[in-house]
Amino acid sequence: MRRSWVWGPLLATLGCNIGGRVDRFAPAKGPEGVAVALELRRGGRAQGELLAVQDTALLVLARDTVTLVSYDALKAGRFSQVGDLLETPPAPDFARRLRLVSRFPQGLTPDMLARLLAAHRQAALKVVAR
Amino acid sequence: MLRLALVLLLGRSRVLRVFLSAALGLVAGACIWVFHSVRVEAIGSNADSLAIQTPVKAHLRDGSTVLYRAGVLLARDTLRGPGVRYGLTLRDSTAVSVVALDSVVAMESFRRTTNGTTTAIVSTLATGAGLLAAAVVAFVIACSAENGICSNCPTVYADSAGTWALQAEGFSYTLGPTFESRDVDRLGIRPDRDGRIRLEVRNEALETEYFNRLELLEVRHAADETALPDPNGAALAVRELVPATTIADAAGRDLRLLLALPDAAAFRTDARTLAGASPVHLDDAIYLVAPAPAGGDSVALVLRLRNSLLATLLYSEVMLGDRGARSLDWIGRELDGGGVALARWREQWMGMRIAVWDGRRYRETARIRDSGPHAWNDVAVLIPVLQRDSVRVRLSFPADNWRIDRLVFARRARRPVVQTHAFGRLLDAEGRDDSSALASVRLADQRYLRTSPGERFTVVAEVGAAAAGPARSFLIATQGYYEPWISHDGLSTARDIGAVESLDAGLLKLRKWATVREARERAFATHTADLEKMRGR
Repeated sequence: MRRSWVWGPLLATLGCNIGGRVDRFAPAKGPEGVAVALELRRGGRAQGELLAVQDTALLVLARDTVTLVSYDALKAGRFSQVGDLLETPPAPDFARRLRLVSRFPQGLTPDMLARLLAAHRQAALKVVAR
Repeated sequence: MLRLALVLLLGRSRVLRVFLSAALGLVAGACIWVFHSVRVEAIGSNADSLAIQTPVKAHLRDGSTVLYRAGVLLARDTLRGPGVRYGLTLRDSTAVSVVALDSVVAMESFRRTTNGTTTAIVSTLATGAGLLAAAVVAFVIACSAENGICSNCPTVYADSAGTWALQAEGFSYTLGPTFESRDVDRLGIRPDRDGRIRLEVRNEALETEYFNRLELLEVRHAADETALPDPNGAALAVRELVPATTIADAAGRDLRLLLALPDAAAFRTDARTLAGASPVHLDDAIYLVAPAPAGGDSVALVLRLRNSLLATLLYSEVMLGDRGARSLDWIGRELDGGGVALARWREQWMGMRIAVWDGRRYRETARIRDSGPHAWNDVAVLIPVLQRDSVRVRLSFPADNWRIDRLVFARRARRPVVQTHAFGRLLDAEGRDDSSALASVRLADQRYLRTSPGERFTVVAEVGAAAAGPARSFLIATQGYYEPWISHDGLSTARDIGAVESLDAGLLKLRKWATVREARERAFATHTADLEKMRGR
């Protein structure tokens, strides 16, 4: 292998930059909110898209169903490329970060929510409480 | 220390030179480690004019979202720039160039930032650790560069009379999460006196391996049966093994004696076939004939085989190598797109296709996926009996892609009952229980156990001691994927090329392979033996 010497300089280059890149950060690449995996206190898991962050709950799209998951119902949460839910409700700073990577950082008006539910053929918002 | 320095400076061996190079690189690189993160910031509405050159999302009153991938110009009362507007439900989208600012209720930008504190602390600490790491990296690089790559998947070992014997390779050639797959391999082991099975799983390649699930499968069967996985991972119990009456390859060689017994004397593509391979005529083939069984509508083909290093060459060098350090970007882009080109290429060319003669033509009935160059893989394939007097089968595959140790027919095959055993313990390399890692591999979910080059762990299952009654065979199911590290020496010629161009080039590399295969395989075998020695096993 004649070019083994190139590994040293290469490694030096690789060692320089670590961490996230915008072009690989999903919320920056599409209109969707960040992917979320939730573990519920009563057992069971849910995966989906973070639609909005509220003071008492997360609004997620899981299994094509718009679902409001109360913080009281949550045992754990993982937000892809953002971090884990360490406490419920999330600390204000983390909640702010989550809100910015949700699909609707501005929140959902009643009219928007009604249209969203209609689009997913839901007569009502599914709620997961404790 | 002085002696070590002199040895490094004066030594002429390749490993030492690599060590020195890696050491210099690592120590230099360790000096400045810059930690980045993606920062998402809300953009205030009080800005008058602002040019943003990173991605921006604007959220409109009606619930739609405008995505500006390349940034946007905020000019007084409008947003200007090429964007895509998505409706509330994301089911429709349109291109936009101008958006009135009064319709926007929220905006955020995405940009890369540097974490100064972490960068300073880690850079200082990393400098001290650089030299030690260099030794490890030198070994890994030497391993990779000399032999192409050590393998492309986790290897599974079992304790066999005090030594660790290779049993299987899991999820081979699953390049990235898109290709996550579940492999089932036969284990040639029995429970110990306490009714336990212990397996050691190693990362011996230059890659990060992600394990989603590990399962131990038990098949109970008659004493004259052999339990084997089929290409889909389901178990088959086969018996009455008979050699084919005719076995010949594309070059016309009679392979009956060579393939009758599992003796490590293996089939490889004839040099003439390999030399004649081209992008338009890539395949080699093996033709088999056996008498049709009386009263049966199927037989099973029993194979013991493994990949040659050609598959490794194609998967590793062709797809990644020409891109050098940019290969990671390519993987990201390719897999973001669903890995379509890669999947199509693999489906079209790789593995082994099994076809049965129906009296007019060969009909493809099964496929065997590439399984790796390390461990012999025992597999059984159900073959429908389409003609009254005989069964004629064609195996076709890229020239020299396989080493085949045994190829026989089983006149009887059935689907046995399979019992799944969850592994009850997972021990790290120091023998400590790791319940978190165990939880990661017990279910196929979002949790993964990640291993880096050189790491290993042990899994233990309680299966009960042997008892009188049916024979027991064990299979291991591994589900996961790997992400390759850069493993090619052509870094200086790195260029970003399209997937299709790369894959076509890969086919042409068959010619090159024909000239280097002997040396590559000899080096690979030597290296594997060296690995064992280094571990003192």
